[in-house]
Amino acid sequence: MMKFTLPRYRFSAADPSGDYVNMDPSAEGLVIPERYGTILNLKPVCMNLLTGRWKLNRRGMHAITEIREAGIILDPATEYSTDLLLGEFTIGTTPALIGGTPYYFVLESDYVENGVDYLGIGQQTDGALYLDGTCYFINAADVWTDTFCDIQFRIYVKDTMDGPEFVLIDNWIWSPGWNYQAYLRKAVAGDQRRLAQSFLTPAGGPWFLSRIQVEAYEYGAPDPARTTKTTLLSSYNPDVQVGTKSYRMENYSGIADWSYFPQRAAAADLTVDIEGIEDGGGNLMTQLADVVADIYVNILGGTLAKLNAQDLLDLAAARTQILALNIESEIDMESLMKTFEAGQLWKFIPLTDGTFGLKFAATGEPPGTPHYFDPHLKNFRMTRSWESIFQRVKIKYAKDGGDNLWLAVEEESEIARYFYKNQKLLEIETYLTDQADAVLLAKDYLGTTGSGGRRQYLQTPKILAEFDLKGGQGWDRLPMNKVKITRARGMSATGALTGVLFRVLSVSKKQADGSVHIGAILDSQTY
Amino acid sequence: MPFTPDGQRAHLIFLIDIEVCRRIDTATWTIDPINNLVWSTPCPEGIPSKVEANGTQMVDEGSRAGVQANDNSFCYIAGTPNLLYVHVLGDGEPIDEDPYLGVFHWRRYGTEVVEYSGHSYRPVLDSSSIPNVSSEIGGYHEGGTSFSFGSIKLLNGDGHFDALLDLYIWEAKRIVVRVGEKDKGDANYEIIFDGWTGNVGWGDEVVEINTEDARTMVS
Repeated sequence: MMKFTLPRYRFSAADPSGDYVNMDPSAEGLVIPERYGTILNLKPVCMNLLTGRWKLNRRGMHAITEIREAGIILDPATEYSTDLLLGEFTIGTTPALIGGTPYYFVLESDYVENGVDYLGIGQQTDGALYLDGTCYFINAADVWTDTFCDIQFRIYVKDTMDGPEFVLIDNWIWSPGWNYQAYLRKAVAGDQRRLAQSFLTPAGGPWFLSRIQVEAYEYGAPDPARTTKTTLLSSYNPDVQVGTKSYRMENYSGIADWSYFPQRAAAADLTVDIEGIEDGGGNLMTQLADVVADIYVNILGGTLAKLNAQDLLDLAAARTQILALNIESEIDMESLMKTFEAGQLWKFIPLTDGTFGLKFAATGEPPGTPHYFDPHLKNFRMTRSWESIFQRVKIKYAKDGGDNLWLAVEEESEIARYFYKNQKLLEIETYLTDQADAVLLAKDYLGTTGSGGRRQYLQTPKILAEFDLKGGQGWDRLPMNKVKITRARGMSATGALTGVLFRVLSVSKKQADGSVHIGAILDSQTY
Repeated sequence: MPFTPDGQRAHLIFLIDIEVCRRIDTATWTIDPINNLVWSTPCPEGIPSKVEANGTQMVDEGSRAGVQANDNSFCYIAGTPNLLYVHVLGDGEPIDEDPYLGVFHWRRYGTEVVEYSGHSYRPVLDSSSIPNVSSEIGGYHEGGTSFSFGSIKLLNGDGHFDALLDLYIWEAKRIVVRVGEKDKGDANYEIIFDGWTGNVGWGDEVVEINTEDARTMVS
């Protein structure tokens, strides 16, 4: 199990499901991600270039909180649709232009028409400058009126979806008499509810429309929260729309200059914030015990009964920090578990009843803790381990889904600095998402915090004991178990050990002579 | 007489000095009845080799009046009990971690009963365990310098170290190892290692103290 490499599934155009036949070819062979918790700035994989469908997660997920194209937030109501059960979303259709064909781009906005606050689009009053089209005012009754002027515009296209962008039609001429008097939503009566400009594509094509450039001027103070968009039509009355509307012009530079259209292309600059896999209650899964169980059952294919049920409950109650985990590149289970364990101070241990234990250190003497005395012990030695001291602990958390960089916090121990002169730095990678949890973890590692219940006291020497057990003692012990020691002598303030608890770190059961060798740490240094 | 061992006939004696520390900011403090900025705590070890506040050595003023007049200072006065007086930065009572305070003194062990430089050495140093001293530098292009002394063993059959190892901080403390010939006087002793202690191992019969090269720590 620990050598198992996750995730299990890969993108392939030959996948029997047929889901990826039209996927981005560059994604062939990439793993299909398994994602837990809140992850920002993900790069989705285009699983269908024709339908503009993108894959975020192999399984269902809780939410897509934000999609951005080139850093601009897309409107979930109109600019993409989600399929959370499949971990997918679909963006709008890229308009395709055919050569030698007339088209119309139509500008519309949603600010209040009051005759005072409105946009004026730059236009050429000399209609002879551009002979392949004209500007229309469209009133509230959808009546188109030719103005015999032309909006100043450029049409940007690509030959292929992932190809370079170029200007197909360039009507960007600051001619004598130009003005901003192609008004949009000026009159309360709605005489210029919309504006349109027709144009004729040259021979050739087809082309994919990437953006349209116009120049707008604000008269008065049109609502800055307005949304101005551009629609491409192949004919009007009735309107025949080509592709999806542009994104909101106001999101781009200038006043309202650029109408970017959705790009159903692998090269689309999409970044996504998500909330990953759900727990059984329909909530976002963020808790350690839930995530470990989900990985074991739903990725590795194990059965839940193999995870010690009581341990799962105990772990769920004791480790409640919020996690996020983005398995989008190969990682073996052992590395994954190591990060889980280090990030929340617990251990995944095979038990002798056939289940896996999920153990964490806690105060007190568990029932059945064996008590060993001098006659049970031989070769008893203790160590104050200076080498185990760390002066600083650096906790890496909230790994970014896009650039894979971590946030980090550092804590320093003055005790390690002043009394043990140790300058070592311990660096821990975690799946934690909150800074406060990361800070507390660093303090817990050093032992500088007064809370947490999981302190490791790395700011002082570890007090370790090693010994052999005689007479059949210790054969039931496993790491994370406790043992109690009473000896007439020991390294302690009294020079003796009287019922001192140690936590087992290592057990070596020697069949040859029936002895058991145990390495242990002073129990009070483990929580 | 300088150290000039005479081959196999030389009767060598090894001496080890370890400057252990006791943390005292957690101790009980009493304000001096005359000097209102001076606080005292028992110091049964005798004259300290140094006192540190937040890792910085305090100045020994020799008297309570001197301590009163100078912050970040101390003095030791023998009596019943022996007392250590301090005046910490900020003029307040030294309390937990404000500042961190440590009192240091030397503990001395030899391979046999010997007096060196006016100090007695407890004869618990296991002479058979004295490690070799090695030092080596690589070429400039190779980089690297190494100094090593291994570990030394102190006999503990009588339990001398059982509580001492808990009472004092023995790790990361200065350790000086000297060698000399018997009956040839103090000038005969040579320092063969001056570094730091590392891990400390305890057993019923032997205590083992690892050493670290001087570059390990900033002092």
